[in-house]
Amino acid sequence: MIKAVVAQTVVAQAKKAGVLLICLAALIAARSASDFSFDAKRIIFSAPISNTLLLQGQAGPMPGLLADFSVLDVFSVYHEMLENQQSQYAPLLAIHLNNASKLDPYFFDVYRLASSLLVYDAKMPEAGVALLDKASLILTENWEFPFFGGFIAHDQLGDDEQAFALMSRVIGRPNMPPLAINLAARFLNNYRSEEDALLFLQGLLQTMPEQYQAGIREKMLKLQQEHDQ
Amino acid sequence: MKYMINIMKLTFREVIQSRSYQSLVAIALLAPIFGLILSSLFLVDLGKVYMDGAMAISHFLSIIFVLFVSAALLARDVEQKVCYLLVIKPSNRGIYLGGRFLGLLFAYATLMALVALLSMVVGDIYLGNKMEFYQSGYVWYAMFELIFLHAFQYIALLAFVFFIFSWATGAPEIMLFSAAAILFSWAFPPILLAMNNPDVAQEVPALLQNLLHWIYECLPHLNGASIALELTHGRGLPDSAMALYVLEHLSYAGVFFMLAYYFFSRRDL
Repeated sequence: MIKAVVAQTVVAQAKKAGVLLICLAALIAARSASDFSFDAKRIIFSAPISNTLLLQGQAGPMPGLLADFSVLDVFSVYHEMLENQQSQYAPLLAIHLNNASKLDPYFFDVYRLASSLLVYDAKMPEAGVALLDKASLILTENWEFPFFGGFIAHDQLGDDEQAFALMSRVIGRPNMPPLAINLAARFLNNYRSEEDALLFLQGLLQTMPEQYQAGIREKMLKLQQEHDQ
Repeated sequence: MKYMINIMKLTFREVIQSRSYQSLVAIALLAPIFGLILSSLFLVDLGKVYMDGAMAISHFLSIIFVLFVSAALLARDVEQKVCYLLVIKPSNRGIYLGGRFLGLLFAYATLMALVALLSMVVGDIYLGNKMEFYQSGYVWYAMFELIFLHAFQYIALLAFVFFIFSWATGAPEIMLFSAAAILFSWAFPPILLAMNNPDVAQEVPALLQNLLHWIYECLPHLNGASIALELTHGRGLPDSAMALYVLEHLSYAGVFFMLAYYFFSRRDL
């Protein structure tokens, strides 16, 4: 008897909820796209909180969800930058990505967006490299983020010292590409000397597995030839 | 014991037949849908985002249950003098409190079990066939583990509501203090954890920093935010930390319930 009553009530409530959902969907569809994006702009582009204590207090037991919303804010800001040529909103990308990484340091999407949108679209390579540096210290099993960070530091910032620091972290990580060894040696060669690069490669030769050693010897030979010239 | 079980059954039936609880059950069906919608917007960490979405609904349901189902039921007991009927012999005030608490606990457990089961099933269907790269550490029992551990926070809050009820005069008082407790339990533990961050510690006055650090050292370090971060990324938790966390919250529940019994047994009804 009770089960029948409960089932009837659940069905009635579900019907009411269904009607409400349909009305809500109709309301949203009836609004114009420009109206919706204007509301989104007001919400997203008001100054976001970047204070860590306030962020953590706001997030409570759901820091991951707030990090997800910060990444959604990044998508909205990027959309505004592309569609409406609003490049002055670029610093907001860095703020939202930093907030997301403060809330959820293990969130991969944050660092992927940092290595792409922040560096090449927002033209903020320093902020991108800083986030990738943080990722390389937290996500110690991942080789991609220090690899991207090292390359960006060399290519965009011209900072081979930082590039070497990041690229050398790739070495020893699971599934790391052999190219990382060559790049690390090149960066060290650029900001120090060929002798230092050779010493670095010699050290690696003693610790790296066999499948990497042929590439290391080849690089050492090239560096030795350059040094002799 | 028999009378406590009777009051527990009565409370359970009363709660599951209430419209507010039935609305919560309907909303519980949306938990996996919200997770699916949210994760469809992201690039890589689909498993983590799905669990964030489903977990958010479980938190929302838990807060509504504590505030609008439990507190409302107890407030009605006081205002409409229902508790008078339930404390007369052969029952007594302790049996009444225990029965009400257990009944609400079972109703809450039923709701959370429903959310966990639905989230697990939908999550497994959605993420099961995806590459490991996209699953981001999702395992089929992760949702259950998350909701199970977070539930202890709300069990402690439920006991706090009973403590408020034991001396409050009506619904406004019970609701107000319960909401304040929920807000405190929401914000304080992650702020306490954030104080370990050197950048944050620099901004806080030394005296307050020392006090918060002392409180942090006295309590188990695992909190709801850490649990959410570690489990949604497939990073396990040490058994000892989980055990201390459960013990901590059961202790809070025990202390508040004992205080509730102390004040309620001395109250003029």
